[in-house]
Amino acid sequence: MFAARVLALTDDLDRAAQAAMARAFQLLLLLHVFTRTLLWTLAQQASHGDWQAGRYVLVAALGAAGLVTWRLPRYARQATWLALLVLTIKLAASFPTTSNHFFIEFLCMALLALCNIDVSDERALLLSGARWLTLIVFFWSGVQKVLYGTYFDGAFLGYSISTRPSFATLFAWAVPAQEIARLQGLREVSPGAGPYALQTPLALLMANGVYVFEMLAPVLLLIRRTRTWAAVATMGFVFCIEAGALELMFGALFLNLLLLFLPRPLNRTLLPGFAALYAGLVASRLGILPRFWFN
Amino acid sequence: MSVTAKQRLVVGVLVGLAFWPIAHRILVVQTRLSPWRFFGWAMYCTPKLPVVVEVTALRGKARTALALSELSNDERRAVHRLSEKRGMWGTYATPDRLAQRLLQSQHYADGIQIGVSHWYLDPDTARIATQRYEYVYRR
Repeated sequence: MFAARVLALTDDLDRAAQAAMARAFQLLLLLHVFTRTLLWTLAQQASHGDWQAGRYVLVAALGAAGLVTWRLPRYARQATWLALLVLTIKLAASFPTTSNHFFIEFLCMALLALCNIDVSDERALLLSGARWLTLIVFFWSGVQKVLYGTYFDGAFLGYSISTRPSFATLFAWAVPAQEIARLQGLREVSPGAGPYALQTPLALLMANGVYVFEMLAPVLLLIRRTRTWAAVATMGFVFCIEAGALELMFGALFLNLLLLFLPRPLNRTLLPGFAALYAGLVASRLGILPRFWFN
Repeated sequence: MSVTAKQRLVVGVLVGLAFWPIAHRILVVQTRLSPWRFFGWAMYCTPKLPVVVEVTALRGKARTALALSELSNDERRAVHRLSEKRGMWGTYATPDRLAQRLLQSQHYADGIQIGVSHWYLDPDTARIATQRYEYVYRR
């Protein structure tokens, strides 16, 4: 009873769009984990990592799982279990350096393996569970920033501007050139270095806005009346943050999760766009397109 | 498995996920566990900064700092490994094995002192600060 009530909070009043949404989510997630594992394997190859043949087996298994899910949907659950097995191996192999990003992928895949998306109630469970996961991750990201206290005076942002050129470029419109120059002058990171605190009111507003938004958005996403607009605003927020951090894979995954909060299956419409993005990232890593750093 | 059982399982995991960050934060404060790892959603809360390991040989009241260049390749690797493990596991990664290795190679020393400095961005001063742990091993 309690479980059903909790899940109902993130369920749709009208479940008509859920079949298309769940199916698109399934395909997007498989495409995502395949791409990420391929990028991981290519990166390891470049750095002469060990177990390279094993990595390619994992990539092939995920590729096969994706293809089966796409072309032979009646075997999609078996394919999803195969993908979950691969991710479990990856989790065991990467622990303790496993990224939080990977853990979200793993939990989403576990949800997909658990729920039969051809059954209405299980489909609803999948979507509600994935939405709750999104809310928890987003909310705690904000709370943790408060607990660490490095956003009140913009110190973390200042440090990022000081050490990462992509942040300096991204915030050039909000932080005066003089302050950026000062921060970049502190680039030698050592005990006593700093202060990284920001002085510009706009930059301070932005730094404090990050955690406020991260804690507020989940509440607005939970309330049905504000859900759609909150989802759109959160997607814009995530897009800006991840573009700055160049965490493109995490950004894509999180956008996929946020698309689940919309009343229509926009994720199905955007599926080719995501496929093009992933193909572009792989092509960049292979040197077919201009190379650039991303995570 | 029935839908109800699946719902209970999913909500159980979600409840665990919702409370884990509190434990994560406590562990980070108490043990300097990596904020970026172990699923506490504390990425981009504080920078990833190095953990510096320093080794001192003790003989009577004399203390001789051992530079990395004075150590063997294996010992240097062990120092590097400790630094990496420490950045991940915090104080759970003790320097015991490194100390045993050094006690074997530094025959003249009565003991070995290993200093581990965790660098962090201090929210009070907005500067890089350090928290240092000292470990002393006697023969």
